[in-house]
Amino acid sequence: MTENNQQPIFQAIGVCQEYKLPRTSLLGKPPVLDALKEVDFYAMEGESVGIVGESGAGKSTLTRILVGMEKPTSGIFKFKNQDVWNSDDDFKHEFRRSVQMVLQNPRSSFDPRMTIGQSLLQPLKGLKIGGNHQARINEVLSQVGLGQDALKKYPYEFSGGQLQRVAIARALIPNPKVLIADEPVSALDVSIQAQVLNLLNDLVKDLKLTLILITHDLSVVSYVTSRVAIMGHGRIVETGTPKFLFQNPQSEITRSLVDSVLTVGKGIEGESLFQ
Amino acid sequence: MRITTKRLNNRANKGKKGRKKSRVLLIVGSLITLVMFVIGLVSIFWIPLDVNESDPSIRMLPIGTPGHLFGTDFLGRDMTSMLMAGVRTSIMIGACSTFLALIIGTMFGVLAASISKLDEPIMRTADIFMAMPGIIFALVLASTIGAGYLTTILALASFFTPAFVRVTRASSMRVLAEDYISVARLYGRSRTFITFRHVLPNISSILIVQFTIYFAAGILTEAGLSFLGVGINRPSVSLGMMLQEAVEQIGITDPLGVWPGLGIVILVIGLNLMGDGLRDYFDPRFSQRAR
Amino acid sequence: MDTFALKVENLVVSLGDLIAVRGISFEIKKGERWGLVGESGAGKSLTALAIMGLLQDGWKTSGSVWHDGINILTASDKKLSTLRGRTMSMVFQDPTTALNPVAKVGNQITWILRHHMRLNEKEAVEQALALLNKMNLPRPESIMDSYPHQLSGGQRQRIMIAMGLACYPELIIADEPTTALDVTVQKQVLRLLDDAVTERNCGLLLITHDLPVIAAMCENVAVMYGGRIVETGSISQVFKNPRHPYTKGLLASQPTLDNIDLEGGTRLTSIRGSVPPLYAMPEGCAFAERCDFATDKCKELPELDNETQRVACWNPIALSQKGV
Repeated sequence: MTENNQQPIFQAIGVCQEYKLPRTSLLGKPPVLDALKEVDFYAMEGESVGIVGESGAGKSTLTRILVGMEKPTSGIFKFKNQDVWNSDDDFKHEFRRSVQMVLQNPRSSFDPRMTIGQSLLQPLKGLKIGGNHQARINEVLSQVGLGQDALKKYPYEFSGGQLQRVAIARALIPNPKVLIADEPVSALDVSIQAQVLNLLNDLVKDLKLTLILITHDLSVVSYVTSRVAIMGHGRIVETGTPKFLFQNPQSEITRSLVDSVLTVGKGIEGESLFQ
Repeated sequence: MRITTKRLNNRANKGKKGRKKSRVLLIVGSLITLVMFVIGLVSIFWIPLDVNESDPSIRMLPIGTPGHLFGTDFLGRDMTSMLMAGVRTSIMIGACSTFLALIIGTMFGVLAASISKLDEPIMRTADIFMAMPGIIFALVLASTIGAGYLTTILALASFFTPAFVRVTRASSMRVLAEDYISVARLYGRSRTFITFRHVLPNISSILIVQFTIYFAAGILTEAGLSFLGVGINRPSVSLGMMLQEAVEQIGITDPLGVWPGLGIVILVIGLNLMGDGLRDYFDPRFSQRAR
Repeated sequence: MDTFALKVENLVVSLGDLIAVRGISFEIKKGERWGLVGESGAGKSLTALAIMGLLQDGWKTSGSVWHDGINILTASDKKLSTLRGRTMSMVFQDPTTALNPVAKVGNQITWILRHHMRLNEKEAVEQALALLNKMNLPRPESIMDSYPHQLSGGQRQRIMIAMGLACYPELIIADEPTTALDVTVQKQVLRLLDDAVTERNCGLLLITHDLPVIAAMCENVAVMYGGRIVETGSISQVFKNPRHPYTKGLLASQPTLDNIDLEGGTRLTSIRGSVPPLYAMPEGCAFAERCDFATDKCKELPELDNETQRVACWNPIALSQKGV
């Protein structure tokens, strides 16, 4: 798993996550949902890794653990080779600043009653980041290709694609090492998806970020990531490069995911549409 | 929210006429309410005559009598003064009780939505309050601490608080489910910050509408309580109380209940129209026009 | 009137000052399958609603939508209710909200059969079971007895399709039928729809922003942008050799498996800018501000030309092959 002297920047070992379900009977233990079962996952610094799976596969749960929102029921979650949940406050603070997230629905990611400027101040204030706040905000806005006129506007004044850029800008504010993007383009129009994916690619390269892209769309993941983990039923069933997974899927789940991909050039049975 | 076709289609449901209608309602309702409020306000500083001064020699004067615009009642007391004071009392009690219910209700509602362990206890307590027959509760209060301003306000506040708890809880839960709340938490924002800077502003429009609606209900209920004798009593004057006195005089003198009754109706209609108008104004279906 | 399942003539849909659909025309012959492609804000869903006569009261329409000898836009609600579900049916995007949550699935299906086809209860149940079987739904009896919330999204969508096909309609309108479904279920459902449509020889109007879905299901396509149709033709024409810059941009921004690179990080071609909002539609060609080929002439609104592959553009892309 590790290469030479490098440790992965992110590592989940044997992570399990259980959720207690509401009781169905008065006696006995309440039923439990095994959302994650013995998941091993890692990402090297500067890598772009994809996590692909259908709904219910456990992607969201894994995402929440990776971003530090939830503590796994068992297993270890390490950042920079340190156990995140068993560390001191200083490290936890560093973790919070270093790991940022972009979510699927840009509309829901912003308080509709705050201006963009106010929303962009939140990470600076909440994570107690010093320095010139205004300058930092302007900097990230230009990194995502937006102007300062955005600051006084409210979320409803932006289109989905633009708002997602703001979300990415916000994620960049604390100068993170890891960017976790949970279905970042699923809610966007096709022509905008490309813009946002290109932006992510550029940022990863320019800022040397580690990107973890979670999606159900194999085609999207193949454009942005170099290694993909396929999830199903709470486990990681297979990992590999996109090309390998497409050409030699080993697991049933991967196979069915690959099979379901439709492209413009092929009909429903995979027959070629154009001569 | 995205201008999806569904939203546009829903908005169209009311059509141009609908939006105009809600604007008109809002303006009409607000004007009526404003007029009544002004009357009530004025009455704090100036009333033509003392409300309790009875002069049997001028009993049952008809309206339009110089010096007694609305006439006098069966004891010779000036109706105009009583009506003005009555409006003031109704508004005061409506405002205080609804405001009290709003504060307490919002507090518990937000708590119930934010802290899951408190959810059940708070909601069941609210249910208990809702299950209590209101009039009985008012009667009990009246017999323990005596009828009057305070009793009425307390009684009304306890009727309305559960409703505010419910509404606040429901809308708070909706807000708390939004992504920006998770984001705020990830930024280490305290619960207090999230509650006051994210949740409350986003439920404020719902609360404003609820407030006006319960304000009207408060006025109506106070009238009912005073009518039954467990609300306001002399020397204070309330519209409901005037109705009660009028009832005793049915068959003996001309209808004295018309004016106080009308006063109640106008106040309630005004507030309801304003509430409806506000609700439509804040309705996200219409908010698209804000561009 | 009998050769086509649907004929739309100059359809305009507006809400006050907002003109959402700006005059579109197309014809779907019986048994033909058309895709209507466009991103959000293009007006395609409103077109679908207008065609079904499902627009709410505030909307104004002009033009005509001919189906079964009737102009949907001017027909009475009563007349429309005899058509909907019988000669023309719709499959909606969200199976959760499209089915009645408090009625059992079986009742919902049999209602249609009894109402439109005048079957009695027994016959209706038999037919319903047969339909569910066709939809590859296991244990149809227990499904008939279930409520929608007890079933999965894929099952619900299949039931929607079953309901849509129940009365052998001339035309099925499917509005983003698989967008809300899981990727693996999507293909199954599409396959089903495909088979069913073939078997019954109905017309299909598939509305979506997902180009591969249209490629898989349809023979012809109309591309919508800014409330108008900007290009139309057969799939092999339009998707292989797009003439309109928007179509070309749209196709280029689709990740295609054929181009997978080892390391990822390949640049996708995106269309700069974004779709203009309905209330701020520019004069002339709505795509001009994002178009690399725009000229001054584009301030004038282009109309669809009369080639076999029609495009509404002053500077269309020249066809690379001769006479496609």
